[in-house]
Amino acid sequence: MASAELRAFLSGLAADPERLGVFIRDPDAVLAASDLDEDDKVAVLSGDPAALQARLHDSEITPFPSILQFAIMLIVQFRPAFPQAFSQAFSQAFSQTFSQTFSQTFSQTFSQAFSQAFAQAFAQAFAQASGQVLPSASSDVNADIGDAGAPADHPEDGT
Amino acid sequence: MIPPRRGDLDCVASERTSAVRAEEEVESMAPGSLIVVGTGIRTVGQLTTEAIAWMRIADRLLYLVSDPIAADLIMKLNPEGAESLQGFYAEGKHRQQTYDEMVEHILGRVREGHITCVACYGHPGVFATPTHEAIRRAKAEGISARMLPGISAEDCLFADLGIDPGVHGCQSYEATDFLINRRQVDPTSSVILWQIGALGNATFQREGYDLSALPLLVDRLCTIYPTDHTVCLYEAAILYGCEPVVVRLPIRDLTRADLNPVTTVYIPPARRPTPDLSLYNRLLALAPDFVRADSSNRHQAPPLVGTGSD
Repeated sequence: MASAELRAFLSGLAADPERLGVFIRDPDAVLAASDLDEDDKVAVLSGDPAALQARLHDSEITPFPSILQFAIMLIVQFRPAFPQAFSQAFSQAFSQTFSQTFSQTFSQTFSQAFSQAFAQAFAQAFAQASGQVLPSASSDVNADIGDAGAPADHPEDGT
Repeated sequence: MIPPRRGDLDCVASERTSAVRAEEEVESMAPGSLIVVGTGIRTVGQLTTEAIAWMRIADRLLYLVSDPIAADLIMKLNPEGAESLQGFYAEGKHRQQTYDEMVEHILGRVREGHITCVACYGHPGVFATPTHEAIRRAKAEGISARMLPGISAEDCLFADLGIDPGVHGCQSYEATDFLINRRQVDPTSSVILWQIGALGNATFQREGYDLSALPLLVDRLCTIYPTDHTVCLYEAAILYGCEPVVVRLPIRDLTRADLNPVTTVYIPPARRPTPDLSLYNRLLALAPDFVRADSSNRHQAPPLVGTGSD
């Protein structure tokens, strides 16, 4: 049977440095003067954690967790840097992909639209300006501009 | 015997001084304050007199301690105000949730206007998430909050293993944090890894933890140290009159070791540091007194410990 007296005896030592000093100097005398039973006295002097724990933890007296269970209670909560690392990696990857895709798409679309519009406008203007002088040249010019301004056929040019 | 409470502090002379000081501080505090104290790793002999005084005079004494002796003492010191925080734990419950609830409970007591003392085993601010958070939030609310130091497991380790962190330096990491956050260690200094017996676990487990991730940690350590480098498994003594657990083994054998959640790994330096001779000479020129200190040869050739068969 475990002993509530043993807990009281040891907690008394914990709170009273003077009494603890007397115990350190002469444990046998202090134990002899105490109201501990023989098993408790043996456990105190044994230096055996298992023996002491067995005396200190008795579910019949009080439902007390084992020392190990107590010791793991306040275990520190580790803080993985995963969320931060993940968000950093994600934002990096996202911005890289986005900028690549955006620049690709933008340059492709822009150059296509620009070349089309430019070719059309230029051809129109050129035709208007030169149509009377060189009536047969407009089709040739259009053809030349059309070939040169065809990035859609060569998407790598826009990247 | 039920020890006296506030206004009747006449137990021990040394305790009396602390108690009176604590009482005076209480008088100057606005209602509702928080003080966090530690009970040490081994309650018998490691409790400070100031911690005892605060536990005695507090209106509310919330506690989370490592042994029934501390719990018994707390109940004696403050029978009306003592309240365990143990009930916040539950099997498989995420620790962060437990800590959040604890913090809210502590602050609830403080907000009610109580002088609230929180007593935790060891040092209340070392490997103790909720105590720091409670103080931080209390201060943010304009509430007086303070932490007193206690004796931590690291203090016990230095004493039991005879290590002076000032000689080689000392790096200290929680084992899971060390592993997953790629912490960099200096193999010329001492390294302490805490909670190796709970590696990779974020929930409370009453019967211990699954350690199937342990080989990952050992692999990582073997990239830093020779596989035969001797490390030390350490567990501080919790009960008076008992010896600490000290087991030395090669680093490669860690996976076969008998670990529990309170096991700590101490890794001694594996090699000597490389002095910066240029800086050394500049220091000699600027600080002649350094010559005397250096005559012990300490700065040039610090002794290596724990290597090979040590």
